[in-house]
Amino acid sequence: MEDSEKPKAPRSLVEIIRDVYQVENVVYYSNDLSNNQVTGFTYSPEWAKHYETSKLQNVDPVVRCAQRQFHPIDWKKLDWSSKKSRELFREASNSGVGNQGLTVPIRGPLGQFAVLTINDTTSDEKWQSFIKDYTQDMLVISHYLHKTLHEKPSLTVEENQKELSPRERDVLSLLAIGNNRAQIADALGISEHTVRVYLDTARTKLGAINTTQAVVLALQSGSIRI
Amino acid sequence: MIHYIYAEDLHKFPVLRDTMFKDRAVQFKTRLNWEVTVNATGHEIDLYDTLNPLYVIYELEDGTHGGSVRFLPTTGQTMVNDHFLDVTDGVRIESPLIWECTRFCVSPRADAETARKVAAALLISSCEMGLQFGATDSVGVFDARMVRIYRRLGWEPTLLGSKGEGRETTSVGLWELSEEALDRMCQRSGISRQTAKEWFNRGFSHDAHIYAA
Repeated sequence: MEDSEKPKAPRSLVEIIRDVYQVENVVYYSNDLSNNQVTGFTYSPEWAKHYETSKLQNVDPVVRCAQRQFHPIDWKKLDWSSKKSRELFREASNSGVGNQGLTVPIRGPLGQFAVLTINDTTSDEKWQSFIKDYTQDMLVISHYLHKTLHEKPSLTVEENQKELSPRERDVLSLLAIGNNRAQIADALGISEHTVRVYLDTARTKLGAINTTQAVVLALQSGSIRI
Repeated sequence: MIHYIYAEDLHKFPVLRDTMFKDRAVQFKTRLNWEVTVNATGHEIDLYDTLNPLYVIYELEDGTHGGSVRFLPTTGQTMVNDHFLDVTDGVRIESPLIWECTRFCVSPRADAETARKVAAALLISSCEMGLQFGATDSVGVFDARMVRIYRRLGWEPTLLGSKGEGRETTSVGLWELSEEALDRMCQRSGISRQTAKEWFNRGFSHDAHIYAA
């Protein structure tokens, strides 16, 4: 996934997530400001087609909630009481969609919208435990996907330097040459907590999945030097 | 009790909504003299209230606003990134794991004992929510004199920086979301963790809502 030369196919990315987390389905959907849609899903093509042609998004409580709100959504906690949404749930189950779902909405700075959904068939208890363990992973992965699929890679050193602030570059550089967080905090005269948060914001901006990849990307693009 | 309400649903709670925006006017305009706008109905409302933020609101026994905070995802537009880059060393605080928390307000109508309880309940329910939703930190803008109140409640922010002087100092800080902080605040305030969980479940589960009503 680190090789930027490879074509970025949404379908193959969601399949990787499905296999790593051993769930039945993974869906990514986004709509940017120019109304360009990117989707990747592991549902059956028949179900996807039916969903689209019957405009089921209009009765899907998950879609309604994810479009407006920003917390990770546990499907079971939504209002499925209307006849249309119960019908949707029943049809979905018959088409291989699991009974449990977690949908992570992504809100961009200009109001861009995307979601990552994880879907499985399991008991409420097991699902609660899955959510507890993996919601944070899904938040990070959803943003990684979003960056990977949407944003043109910044090609010039200037562009990358504009993205990262001098403080974020300092923290990444010190990490790249082998300092730990305490040493970085000491060197820059800031708290370890602040160092951890700067690493997190730098990771988000670079579209990296973890801190190590953030350092690699920053080195490759020339935003930091060692 | 605590409510978790998105802006789009505030109309279902007209008394809470109106008293919240009025209390904010008194706290931020009258008392702290921040550069905020109060509209003709006496409500303090800014741009970020229009981005469908999530409010955590304490409801007093008479049904009015006892205190509140306002959350937005830092991947979207936030006050800290729009107005406080000079305070954060130019770092845009942007992460799927960090939520922005602003407009921490305790009703000026609350007596000292109630105010302490409201402040504790707001921090506890914010921390509970953040942990449940997989966040690691919250970034916030606050009046610098609040630091000792946060300390006493048991959840001190890491200060990123401040601007302004004396009474008009405004700071940006980071709150680390942790089980330890949450347990410490529960212990000091006498609000049980179970209560915090019940507030959260009632706020974010449709079935629980019906059950509560």
